[in-house]
Amino acid sequence: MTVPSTSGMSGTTGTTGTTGSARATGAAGAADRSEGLERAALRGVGTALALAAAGVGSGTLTDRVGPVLLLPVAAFALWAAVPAADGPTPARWPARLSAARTTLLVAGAVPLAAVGAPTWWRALAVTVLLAGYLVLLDAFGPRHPTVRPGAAAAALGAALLVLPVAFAAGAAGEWSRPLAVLGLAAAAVGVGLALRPTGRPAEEDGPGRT
Amino acid sequence: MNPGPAAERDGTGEEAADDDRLARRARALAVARSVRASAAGLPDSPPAPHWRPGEQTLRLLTVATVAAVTAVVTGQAWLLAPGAFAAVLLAFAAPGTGRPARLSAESAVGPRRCFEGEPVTVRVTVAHDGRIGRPEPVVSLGPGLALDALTVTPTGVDLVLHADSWGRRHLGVVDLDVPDAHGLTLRTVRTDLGTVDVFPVPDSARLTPIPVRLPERIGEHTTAHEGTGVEVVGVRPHVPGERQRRIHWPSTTRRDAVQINQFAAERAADAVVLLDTLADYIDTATGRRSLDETLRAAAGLARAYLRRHDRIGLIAVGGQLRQLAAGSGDRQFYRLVESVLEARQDRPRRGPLPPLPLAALPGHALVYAFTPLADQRILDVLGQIRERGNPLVVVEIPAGEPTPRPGEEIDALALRLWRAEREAMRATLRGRGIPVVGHTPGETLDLALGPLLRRRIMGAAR
Repeated sequence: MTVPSTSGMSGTTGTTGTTGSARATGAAGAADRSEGLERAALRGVGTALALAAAGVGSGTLTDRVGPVLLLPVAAFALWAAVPAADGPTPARWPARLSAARTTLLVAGAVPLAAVGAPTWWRALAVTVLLAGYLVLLDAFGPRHPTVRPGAAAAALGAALLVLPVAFAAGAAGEWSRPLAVLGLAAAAVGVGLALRPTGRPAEEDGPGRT
Repeated sequence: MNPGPAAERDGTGEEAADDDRLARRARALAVARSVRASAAGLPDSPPAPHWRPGEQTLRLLTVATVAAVTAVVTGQAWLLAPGAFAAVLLAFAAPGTGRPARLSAESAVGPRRCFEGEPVTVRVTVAHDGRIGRPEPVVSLGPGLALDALTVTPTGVDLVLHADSWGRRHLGVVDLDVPDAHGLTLRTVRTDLGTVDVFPVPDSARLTPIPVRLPERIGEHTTAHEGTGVEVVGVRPHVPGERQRRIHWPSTTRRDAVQINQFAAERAADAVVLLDTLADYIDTATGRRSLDETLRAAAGLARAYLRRHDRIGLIAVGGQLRQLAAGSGDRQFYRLVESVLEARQDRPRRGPLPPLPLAALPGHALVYAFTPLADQRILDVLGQIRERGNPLVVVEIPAGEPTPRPGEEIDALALRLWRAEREAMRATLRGRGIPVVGHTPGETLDLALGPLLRRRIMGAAR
C-alpha cells in the first residue's frame, strides 16, 4: 500500500500558486517546529520525573546503588517519554511494550520513588511532575486530547491535598493501607461501571452498511 | 473588558492552528495504523462489540493501581497522591448517560466503476444515538489498491484510493475506533467498502487488419468484390439502367463508349480476442504483469475494431472458460472487459483445457490470440482454432526472462534453453501459417499489427 506523506496533509486545503505553496511550506515548517518543541517538553518533563523518582538522599535507590544509576534512568526516560506514533496495538510483546513505553515510564516512576524514605519536597516534586507529564502526554500525544483543564486542575488539587495529610505528624501508615485498599476497590467498581453495557446490547447493532 | 477585534482574530487564529495541529496528528496516526493494517492483510475476525478502555484510561488506571498497591506494600501514604490524581481524572472522564447505545459505520463509495489509476472516493461516517468523540480510523486496503489521501473528519474519515491494475477489486474494510465523549472508553465499528470494477486503460491502437473473407454485412472494410462502396476499383461498359452519375467520363471519351465506375463492396469484419489466462507472469525487469498487459492490449484492439463498426467477441482460456459472443457498439467494449474482470481470481486449471465453445467463434472470424507463449497447452487451443479454418494472429505478450545469477554457467544454459523453447513455439506457429507478432507494453499496438496490413490474413482450409 502506498500512502501520502504526513506532511502532505495540508494539500487537502487546496492551496495553489507560489504564495499558496509558500504559505503551506511555512505552515508545515511551523508545525514541525511545534512538534519538535512538544517532543522536547515531553522528554524534559519525563526525564525530570524519572530523575526525581530515582531521587537523591538517604535510602533512595541512587543512594544505595550510586549516582551512576541516574544515567540509565535518564537514558530510558529520554527514550520512553515520547509516545509511539501509532499506539500500543502490535501483536508481539516487545513491540507492545515499546509502544506502551510512556505507561511504563509513569507507572515505573511510582515504585521507584517509593524506595527509601522520601522527603516531603521530593514527594511533591514526583507528584507534580507525574501530573504534569500525564497532562502533557494527553495534550501532545498522537491521539485527540481528552483531559480538560478543569479536570486536570481538580485532580492536581486532590493530589496536593493528600500530601500534607500524608506528611503530617501522626501515624499516617496506619490509615494509608486501608485507604489504599479502599481506593483500589473504588477503582475496580468505577471501571466496572464505566465499561458496563448501556441501553441495548451492542450485538444488536447492525453491521456497517455500504 | 471585552477583547478587541485583534484579540478575537488572534483567538480565532490560535484555534485554527490548534485544529490544524490536531487534524495533522489524527491523520498521521490514521496513516501509520493503516499502513500496518494493510500490510497485515484484511482482518479475518470481527471487532469486539463491546466498549473497552482507551489508551489514556489504561495509563491512568495503571498509575492509580500501581500507586495504591505500592502504598499498601510500603505503607507510604504520600503515594496515594499520584494515585489520587489519576483516579480523579478517571472520575471526570466518566461517560455518564451520553454514551451511545447504537453505533454503526456507513460508507459511500464513488464511482463503483472506473479505469486504472482513476481516483475512487470513499466517505465513512459513524451513525450513533449519543455523544461521541473524534473517531480514529484504521484502513485495511484490499490487494492492488493504493491510498492517495486520507482526511480524518469529526464523524469519520474520507479516503481517496486508486487501483494500479484492472480487476474486480475489493476495496477493503475500515475500522473506526469511536471513543465516548470524554475518551474514557472506545468501541470499534467496521464497515466493508465492497468492490469496485476497475477497467483497463486500453493500449493505443488504430489499425484493424482484416481477413480474406468478410461476412455479408455492410461495414467499412473494402473487399475485392464489386459493390456500392466509395472506393473505385475499375471501370466497365455501361449497362442500360445504371445511374448516370457513375459514368467515368475520361474512359468514355477515350473509348467512345459509355464507361461506368466500379466500386468495391464494403463489409464489416468479425474478430474474436482469445485471452491466455493460464498464468500471470511478472517481468522482473519492469515489474509488469503479463495478465495486465494482455487485457490492456486486447481492450485496445477491441476498441479499434468497434470504432470501425466491426463485431468483436471474446474467449478467455486458463482458469474458468469465459466467452462473449461477437457484437458491436460502445457497450460491447464494457461487456467484453466486464466478462473477464474476475479472471484474476480464477484458480489455475490443471490438465488439458476444455474444447473451445463454437458459439463464441463465428465462422471466418479473425482470431487474435493474446498469449505470453509460456504454456504449451495454448498451442492445443490455437490448433483447434486453426482446424476450424479461422484466420489467426498470435500477439505475444512479454512475460520477462528469468535472471541468471552472474557467473553461473548452469543458469546461463537454462536461460538459453528457455529462449530456445520459446523460439521453437514461435517457429511451430509460423510453420502452421500463423503470424506471430510481439507487443511491447507501453507502445502502440499498431507497431505490432502494421506488418499484417501488407496482405489480408488467410485462414486454413477446412
